[in-house]
Amino acid sequence: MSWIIIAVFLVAVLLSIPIAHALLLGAVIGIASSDRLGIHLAIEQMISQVQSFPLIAIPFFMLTGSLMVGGRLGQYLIDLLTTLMGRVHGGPAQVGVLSSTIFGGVSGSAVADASAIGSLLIPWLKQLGYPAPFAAGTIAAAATIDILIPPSIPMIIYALVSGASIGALFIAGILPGLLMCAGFMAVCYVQGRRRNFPRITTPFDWGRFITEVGYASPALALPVLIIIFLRFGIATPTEVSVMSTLYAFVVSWLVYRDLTLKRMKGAVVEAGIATGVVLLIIMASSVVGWIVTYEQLPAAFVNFAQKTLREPWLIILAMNIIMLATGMFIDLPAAVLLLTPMFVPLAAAVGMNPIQLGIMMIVNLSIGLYHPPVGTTLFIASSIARVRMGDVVIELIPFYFVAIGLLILMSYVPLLTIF
Amino acid sequence: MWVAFAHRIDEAIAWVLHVVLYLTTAAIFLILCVNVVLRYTTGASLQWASEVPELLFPWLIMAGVVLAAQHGTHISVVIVTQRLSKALRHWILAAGSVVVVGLYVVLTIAAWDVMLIAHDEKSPILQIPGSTSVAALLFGFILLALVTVTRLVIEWPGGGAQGAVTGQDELLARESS
Repeated sequence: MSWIIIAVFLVAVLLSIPIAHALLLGAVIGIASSDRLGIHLAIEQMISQVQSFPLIAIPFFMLTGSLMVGGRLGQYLIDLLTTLMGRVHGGPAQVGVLSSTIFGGVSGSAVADASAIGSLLIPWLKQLGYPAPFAAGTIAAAATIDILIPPSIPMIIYALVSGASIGALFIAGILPGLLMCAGFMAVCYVQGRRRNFPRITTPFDWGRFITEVGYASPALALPVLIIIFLRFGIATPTEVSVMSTLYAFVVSWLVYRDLTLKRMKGAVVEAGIATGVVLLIIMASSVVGWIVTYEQLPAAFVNFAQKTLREPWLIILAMNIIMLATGMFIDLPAAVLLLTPMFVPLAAAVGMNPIQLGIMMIVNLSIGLYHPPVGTTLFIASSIARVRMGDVVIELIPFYFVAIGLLILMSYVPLLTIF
Repeated sequence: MWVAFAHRIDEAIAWVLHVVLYLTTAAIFLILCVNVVLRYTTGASLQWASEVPELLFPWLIMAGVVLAAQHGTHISVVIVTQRLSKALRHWILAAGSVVVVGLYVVLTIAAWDVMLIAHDEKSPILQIPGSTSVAALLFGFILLALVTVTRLVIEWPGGGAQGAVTGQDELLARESS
């Protein structure tokens, strides 16, 4: 049955049927080919996902992101970072990396980040004289830092399947997210210096800087508040997501004074659509995941890996290679749902903490977001910059090196993720 | 005539979906906010505060799923079909749409059967039938099939749009504009 699902899925995807529909199609045809299972199983699996209380956090974290960055805050944040970083080598590009990292604290979606930050920064970087493929590549890679900094939607999905704590995952993602940010900023610095990219030439103005810090501080405070609420058990992750939305409403209404009914409705629809895209993939993947478990593939995979690879470091390497390859072809939420049931027992067998595995998985799969052929942030950034994806991929090579280097560190140094 | 009819159906569906999205989002938001505030001000909490959002959430999701289909935002891979001639691409995308319609018709029939069974299950506190959540899926599947047909009619060459588009094509168009 699993082979039928894979075959149908691949053919459907190649024929441009959306990935979520292709997964469901594979599952339904797989079930139909079995004389022991009925299609009602697919419905039951899908229902169990949509009735999940923790998943309610997804639309509200997305709504928070839409409200915060869709308004004046996005521009304030970029102004502040430009004042701070614009004068160093590759500074304007570093603003993109830092913006994504901070935006990560108000949103949980790399795709939302690439759209919001990309549409503000890519035209500006091009106007400054940056090569369009480099501007697009920087935003495509930096947007993925968003899903390491809390709140993170892929972490919520991983927690749901693995049983790991959402709060622990959120906290574990901070250091890797900051290291990724530092690594990508270093790439921008080196490229800026080597290729003599333009910089801001106006002198530093302390008065302006302090005003900008004041304007941007609500965005800087939100991730801190989220961590405090989760760390001290003040509210559940779902309640925290709703409180974040309330915070975004209050800040937009009273501080920035840019909250209109039209913008509010737009943000609800935007968050609803983004939730629909992610949740349909989750529902479809849960059906496939159930069939894979029913056929005992995870257990067979664990046995096979333990017998053939034996050494823990080799097993971890193999997991990384499989995750990287999967992330390049399957959308991130689907890949998390399909790989987690197989890798959690395998990680346990080699003594790896599920929190470390979760962070490792998200970093692996996030590389697929800016790598062809299914690189969503790569696609969005390239289309905003109006450049060929191939040219952007060439500019992304140093970013891939940084990400893989950090991935190796996170895979073999548990302290980085479970400190 | 068919194109105008498809447009009207598409718009009516969009209107209904927007209303569902606004109502479910607002209701879940208010219930969860009030619950947190009550817990920290009076020490009590609403017993049904997790039950109602769990029942409304499937409606929010399915409204988002169908709206995403209307906007062409469900992620698809166009690397192969983009290399084909325009005419062949239209036919392949149309065939894909027909397959998707067939898939959701099958799922609608299965969801109907499950809904009848789930009607006898009641939620623990408010005693709301379990069919409420399955109905959301049924509602979504029917609309997904309908929207796939209307998009096919509208986006067919000469049908008012620039040609059949995939999710990524539309995303590209939206992001570039």
